[in-house]
Amino acid sequence: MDSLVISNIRQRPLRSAISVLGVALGVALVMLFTGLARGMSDDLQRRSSNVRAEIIFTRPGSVQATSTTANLPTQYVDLLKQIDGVETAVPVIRHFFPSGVWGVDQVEGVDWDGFTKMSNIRLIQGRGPQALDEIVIDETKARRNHPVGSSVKLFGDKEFRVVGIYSPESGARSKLSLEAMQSALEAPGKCSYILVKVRNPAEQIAVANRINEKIPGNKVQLTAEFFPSVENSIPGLAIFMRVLVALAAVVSALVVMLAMHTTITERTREIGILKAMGASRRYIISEIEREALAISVMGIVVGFALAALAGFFIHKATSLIFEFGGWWALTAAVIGLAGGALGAFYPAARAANLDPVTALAYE
Amino acid sequence: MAIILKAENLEKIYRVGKVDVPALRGITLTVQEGEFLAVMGPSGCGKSTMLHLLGGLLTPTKGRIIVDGEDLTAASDAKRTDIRRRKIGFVFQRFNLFPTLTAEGNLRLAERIHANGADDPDRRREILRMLKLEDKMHHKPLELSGGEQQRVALARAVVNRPAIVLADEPTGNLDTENSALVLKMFRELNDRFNQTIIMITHNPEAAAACQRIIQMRDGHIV
Repeated sequence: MDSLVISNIRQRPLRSAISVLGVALGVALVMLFTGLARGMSDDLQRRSSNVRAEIIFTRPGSVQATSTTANLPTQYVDLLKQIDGVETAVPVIRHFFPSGVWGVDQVEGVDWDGFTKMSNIRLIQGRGPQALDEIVIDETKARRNHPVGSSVKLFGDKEFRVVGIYSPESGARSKLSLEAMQSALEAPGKCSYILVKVRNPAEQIAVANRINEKIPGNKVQLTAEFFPSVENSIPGLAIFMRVLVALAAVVSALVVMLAMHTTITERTREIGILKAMGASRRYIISEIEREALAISVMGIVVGFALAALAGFFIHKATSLIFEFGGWWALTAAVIGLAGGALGAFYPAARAANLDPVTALAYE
Repeated sequence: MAIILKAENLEKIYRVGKVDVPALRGITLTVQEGEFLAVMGPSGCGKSTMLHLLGGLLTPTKGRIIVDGEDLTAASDAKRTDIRRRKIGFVFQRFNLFPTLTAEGNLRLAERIHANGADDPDRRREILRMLKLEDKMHHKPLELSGGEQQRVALARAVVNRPAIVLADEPTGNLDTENSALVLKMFRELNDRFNQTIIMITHNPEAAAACQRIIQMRDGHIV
């Protein structure tokens, strides 16, 4: 092997592997964090888009990203239906609850007939919820060992029987009847929000304005704006993501720096030989940087593979969704390369400045 | 014959703690092109220091060194490195080959450093043939005997046609048979390519192979 860079990498396989893993860790972290945020955000928006209502009527502050309050009287449904341009209105209670060790899940209480008429969801097995202990779930949840006839636990240990499976996914993956949800939450006659379908979607803004005029003091929002991306709805998430990305870059740089620092110390004598042979500082720095970049490139490839594997298994275990985007993959690759290059620069510069006679005498 | 190296009144003082230790105390030396010169003397007399100064690895405290018309002592560190790259080839007692590279890899590395990626396969083949290393090119240093390693080191030193080869006890780690073989190679290089060689040695037989011998003692040429 004639290349000093490649032969050095092959000569110390364990240290090279650790360096590659260090870069891979940084790259995988960037991919997983950003993939999770994007996956969950897109999943939320995709499921929301299947509702097909143009307007959401609610009370200010009653619906947040991970919490809701059932404080809106359902009598508003009739008032909304009387407004010019409104085709139909359907009350919904959305309830968030802790799920497993990973986070929160959600369940909706809906007027099943009205909800299915408004949206494009259809039962593919069983029937809609009728009794207070009946629940319907979407295909994704059904695939996790919840066939029709099985039971799921909600609100602590209360068991609900799966009576139907619907498709496509829309809003929460589990739906009770509105009455069952009101009963469970002890909120009779209340809901979290009312979905409003307008006759002509092109006039949704005009209809929203009319609702505001006729029923003032509430919150009238277009559906497209109501289900924002996770990144926008959680304050500081974007900054948090950037901090994580920066930390990943620092991890990569530190691992490469440590590895290259050790390498330089071990190769002090070789650097002395290079200097005796007339290698310039620039040549020595470029040799070390090339080695670091080769390690970084391998780290990036391994990092992408790690992220894909981790995303797959985490999704299997927890239902968290990862969507890896090209832009973030590029960012992760740049971070891996820049981390490697910057991490190697100090040891490289140190090597380039070694006194050749001292280096040649190094044992 | 032209003068290839000239050292005038070279002094080198090392600072050890608060004490000044003089290693060279005014060395003046002229070497002709194509000369094969032996430097002898007891340990600590300043031989290696002089060799390092002549090769631009150290800077003198005082004095002047001209290598093939270029003033090493007036040059910056980068310029000195450049002169070393173009005009000097080193051979060390401990061979100092890159252990991760094959014999050929060691030579190609020297070519890359010298010529920024360019190489001269004809010159390389010629040197290898002369040093009887053709069948050892794909071996790594640890797969070679001491004599073979030193011949690879010699090939590496001369592959870029340096003006001067500086050898620091090149037979010091070799047995009698390999010493004789390596010395023979030095002589052949000197005869065939008119290669200028300055060789430090403790071995009188090795010194006898040279055209001129200088003796050093206590930092002086005697």
